[in-house]
Amino acid sequence: MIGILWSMIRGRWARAIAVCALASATIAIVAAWPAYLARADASMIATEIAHASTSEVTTSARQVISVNVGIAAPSGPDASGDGGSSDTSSPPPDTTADTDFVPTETTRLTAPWFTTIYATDIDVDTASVAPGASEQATIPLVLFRQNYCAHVVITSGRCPVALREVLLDDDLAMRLHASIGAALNLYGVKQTSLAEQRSKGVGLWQALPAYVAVTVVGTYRVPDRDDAYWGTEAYFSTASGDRGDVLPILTQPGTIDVLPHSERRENVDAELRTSAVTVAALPAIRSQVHPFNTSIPAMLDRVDADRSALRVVVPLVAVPLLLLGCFVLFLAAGQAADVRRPELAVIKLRGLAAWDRWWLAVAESVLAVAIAVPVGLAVGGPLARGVAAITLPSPAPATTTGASAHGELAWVAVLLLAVLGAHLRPLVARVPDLLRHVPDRARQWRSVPLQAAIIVLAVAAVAQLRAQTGPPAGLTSVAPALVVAAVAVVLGRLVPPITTRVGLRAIGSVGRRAGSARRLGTGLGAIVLARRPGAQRLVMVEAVAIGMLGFAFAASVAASQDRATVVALDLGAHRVLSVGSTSPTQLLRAVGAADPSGRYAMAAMAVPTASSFNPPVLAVDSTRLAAVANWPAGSDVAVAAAALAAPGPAPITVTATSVEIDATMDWSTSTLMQVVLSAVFLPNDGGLEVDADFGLTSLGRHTYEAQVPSCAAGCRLVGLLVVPDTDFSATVGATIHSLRAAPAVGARGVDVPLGSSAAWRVVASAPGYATPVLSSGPDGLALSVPAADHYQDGVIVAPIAGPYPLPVVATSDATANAIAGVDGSTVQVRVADTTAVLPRVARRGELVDLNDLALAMVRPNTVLPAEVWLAPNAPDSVVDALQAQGLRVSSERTLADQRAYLSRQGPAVGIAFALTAAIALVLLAMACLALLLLVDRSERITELQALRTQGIAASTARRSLIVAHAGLLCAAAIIALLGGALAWLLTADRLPVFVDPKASGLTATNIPIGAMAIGVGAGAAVLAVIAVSGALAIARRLRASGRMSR
Amino acid sequence: MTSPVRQTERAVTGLAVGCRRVVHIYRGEGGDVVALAGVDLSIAPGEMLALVGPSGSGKSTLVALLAGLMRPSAGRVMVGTYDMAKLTDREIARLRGTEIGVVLQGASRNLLQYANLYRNIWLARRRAARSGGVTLDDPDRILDLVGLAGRGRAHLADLAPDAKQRAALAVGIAAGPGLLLVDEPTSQLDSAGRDEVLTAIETVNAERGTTIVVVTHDQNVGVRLGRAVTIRDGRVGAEGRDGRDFAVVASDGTVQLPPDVLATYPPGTMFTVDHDSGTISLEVGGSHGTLSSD
Repeated sequence: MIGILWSMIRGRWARAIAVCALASATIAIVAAWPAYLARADASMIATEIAHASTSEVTTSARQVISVNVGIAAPSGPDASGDGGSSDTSSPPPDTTADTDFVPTETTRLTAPWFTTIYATDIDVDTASVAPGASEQATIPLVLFRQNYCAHVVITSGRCPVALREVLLDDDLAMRLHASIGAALNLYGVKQTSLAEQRSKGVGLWQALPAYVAVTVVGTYRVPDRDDAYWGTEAYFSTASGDRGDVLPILTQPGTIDVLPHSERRENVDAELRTSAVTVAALPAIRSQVHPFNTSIPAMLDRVDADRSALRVVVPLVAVPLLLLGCFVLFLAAGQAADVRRPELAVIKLRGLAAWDRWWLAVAESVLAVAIAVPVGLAVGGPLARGVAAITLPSPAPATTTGASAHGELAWVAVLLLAVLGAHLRPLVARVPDLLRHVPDRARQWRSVPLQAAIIVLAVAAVAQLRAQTGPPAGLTSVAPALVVAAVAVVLGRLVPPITTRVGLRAIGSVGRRAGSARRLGTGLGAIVLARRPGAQRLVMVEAVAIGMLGFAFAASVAASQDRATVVALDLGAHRVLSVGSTSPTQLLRAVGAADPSGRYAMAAMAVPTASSFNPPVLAVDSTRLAAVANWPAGSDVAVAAAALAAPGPAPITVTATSVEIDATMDWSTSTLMQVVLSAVFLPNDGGLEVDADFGLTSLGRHTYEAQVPSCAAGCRLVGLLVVPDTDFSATVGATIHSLRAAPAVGARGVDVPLGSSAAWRVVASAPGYATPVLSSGPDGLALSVPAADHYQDGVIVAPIAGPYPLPVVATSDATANAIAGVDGSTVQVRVADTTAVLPRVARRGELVDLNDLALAMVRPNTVLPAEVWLAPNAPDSVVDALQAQGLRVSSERTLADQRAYLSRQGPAVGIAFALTAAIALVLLAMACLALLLLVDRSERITELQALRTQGIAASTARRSLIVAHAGLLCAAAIIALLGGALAWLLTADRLPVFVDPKASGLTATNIPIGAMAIGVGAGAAVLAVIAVSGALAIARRLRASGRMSR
Repeated sequence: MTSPVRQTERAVTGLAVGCRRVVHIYRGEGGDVVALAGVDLSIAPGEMLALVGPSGSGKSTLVALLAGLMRPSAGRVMVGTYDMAKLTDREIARLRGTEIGVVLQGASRNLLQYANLYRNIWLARRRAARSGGVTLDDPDRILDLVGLAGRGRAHLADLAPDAKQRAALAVGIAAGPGLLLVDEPTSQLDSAGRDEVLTAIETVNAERGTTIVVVTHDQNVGVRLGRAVTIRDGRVGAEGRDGRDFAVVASDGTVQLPPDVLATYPPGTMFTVDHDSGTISLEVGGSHGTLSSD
């Protein structure tokens, strides 16, 4: 038997190889699927980690330890040559905190997926330093982080190695005039309470007398402040505005131990190791970080979302590809079995046992599949990994899950069943039937149940997809392919009657009109297409393949456009620079100076909201909005900018070195009460806000004076501050009769026009208690503060400057009438314009003018993370100019980067795979077409030879070939386009391949017919190559046989 | 090649064949076609017989019924002791693999074209080889029997037309059947080729005593095989033995007139039949009285 089989395969090696190649391709797809998923998983994890913020890849355990190191030393800098330095050989710190903290947390975080970093820091004062240093107090951190020298750039000197050696950042060294080898006295400090500040007239930081002299051994700069190494602690943040813009002093832990300090902060930061994070590790990592306050779960959620989307999108074409692979194999094996009918008749004629008959009938195909399995498995996985390695970045090796082995076995079984099923009919046929050449007329009805099942499945899948709310799964995940297949089934059945009609009409007109030979060829070709066994099935296969290519290509193009639109909206501008934290006023001034033309750069700030339920608010410089921002299509940026730029009262400005206020204070004498009165000014030259403190007030009408040298060049009055200090419920009244500004010492003060109470607003917060009331009286502005014990943070009465309530442009569903304001105060807003989508906030949020917001702030020095948006044509000099204005660019996001990020997320990776699979689908269909043409060739040649014998011209025979092949492809292309369009109409809006289809205007009814036609056309063109080649090959054989017969 | 020997000089191992009122109807979309309309035929074990007759007369259908490739619509087909109508498909397949050899018209329809003659013969006797108690000739002996000695490794494409037909004959007899059914073995062969094939058939019959039924259009084949049964319109029309032609009385008593007689006396002609001392005479008569014998 082996000899027979060997002869069989050797005699028909081309057919066996073709079947083997088809089966190999199908098995390769089976193997490639999990390999691609594994690689894509690794890639998406790497992408999400790379794109994550520091808080999304680190977690931190922090402990504040109250200690008493050197604080008690009563010595000062003048006490001795060593100053008031504390005893460096003092015993260990008097730690009152839980000393087990570090080991406990470290144990939790030392899983193999984390790199743990220990850090400790204290606050110090550098006020008294070497001669020539600035006298202004600078309160930096003294910080130790494990391996910090590897994460900074040493600009001079070296890293500290010994006790009392420190490393200064460049700016601080310059400010302190501290060179390498200089001694620096570091004083202990403590933070004061608000009451202490008010009652003792001290600042937020109070220097302690004890200090330790340290030696500056080097300077540094931090190349990337956002590096995850630095963890989530705000070492580089100046958000509080009370430290000055300085970076930490770096040193060894021993030095921190000897520096005077009253509290020490200890951190154990854990940073995710990108290379160690695998799919298998995700649940464990999530479990590990659960007790910690970290955003790692948010990043893991994105990974999960990516993986889910990928697993929804991949089957979209992969499953049809596999099914079609099996079906093509079924067709190929069936066609081969048909051609082998006489041979099967011989086998049956010899009365062989059933097993022998089966084996001889199916062995060729089964052996081809058996060889194809290891070949496909060997090729599929590496091929997928190779393609993925090129298209998907992944630093981590991908591992395939063991579950795929079951899948591969199942698909191998399906393939074998397809092959066996293809031989079933010839095997059960009688010998006389096998010997007949007449096609079986009952054959076309045998496929009816299968075709009906496809239609029913398509209807069920679409109905379920439309009804369910979740992502497609199971049957619904292949709904588009089922729709295309159903259309192919229905329209495919129309092909024979239509082509028959065309053929008969063409043949019928022969002899009656000119061009008879041409029409005869056309008619014969059409008849062949109509009556050829398997032609209808071939049309369906080709239609499904190129239809799915059209669908996948259209989805890919639409998804790409969607991503581009969403990125443009989400980012807001072509480039966005994060410039650290600064105040709105300083940001506006810096951007204005860097780009005076207003065409290239725009200041922007995200305004904090009271809760996540409030719509996000973005403050922008509305005068530059049209020039810089990516404005969504369908709305008018000029209208929005005009709506934001509403007019309002001018601010109250003063030019003075001192101010004098005439006020009457009133409160119940039965309570202990201290009320502080002050005025807040903001210098016009961009300096820090000035608090003109009139000090403690007294009952009755008095005049108070405060020095404001910073306002000599002009200041804006931000507000008047009344701070009651009492523990008893009482009402405090303050009547402001006048505010006078004296431009110079001894000069006569000029009245500042205060206006009526309508020109002022009260800013205070004590939820649930009576609010302060401002009214106008004949003798000035009268403020009444009830329940004064609840307003110990003060009540501000601020002059209204600019439009108020602030005009905002809001999306349709953003209905807030107030925003928290950057400084925590509540700012009333009014909706001046509505639109569907806005930059950055997308479909839910508000835009407000940053200039107006700055005027509405009562603490204008409050800093927030700031951004500068750049237009596409912004020159690089703008960035240099921004840095020259003191803005430090910490990171930059561009449209290209964001698009690249989205293109590596699950939906985009999935649709890329689907497109690749659709191309493979067409290649499979191409192989099917080639194989069937090969199998059918000799019979076709025989027919044409017979026609030639009957007198048909060679050109007519050629034309019939061309018409038959071209007609097949044209029919397939038309059906594919209709099927793809219907699939889009019914399923596109439910596919998770789009980020925000509403924002990008994608709807199911808006069929991207152009892209679909390109996909279908490309698929048909590829198939046409095979069809034309097949026709030419037959024509050549026909010519050759004609010459031989002559 | 072994020279033919007279049937009477060797042991008879062939199977007897009997057909009684065999009817076969092909069902078609355009209507039913009666291929056999009551065939009665008896073939003795070891006998050689030619089925002759015009195309469409039912010869091949009768052979197909004898081979068990089809079931008769009515009547009885006996091969040896087997009633073919009562056998299952599996039993018929076993019969074809052991006791009934079939050679279809066209040599290529009997052979696997990708395999050489050895492998074709091996395949043809596989069923018989697995049956117990049967001793089979080796392939070389079989090839020798049909005059293809030394051609065992040849493929069908390597052989001349008559050799192809003998190769088909070889696979037909490979399993040592008691009945060999051969359809048109000499068509499209020249006279030399025809003789080669007929010699091979006669050799098989002489050596093995195989009952052989040959379907042919060639009357000479019938003459050479000794007995020729003419099938006309689905019935046994006549039979020739040793150069003499006979009319045959069917089991229902009907007798087919020879075509030349039928041309003279068309359907509807009435006769009176007299028989006396082994002589039967037909006299034209009846009401019409218009027909007369020459």
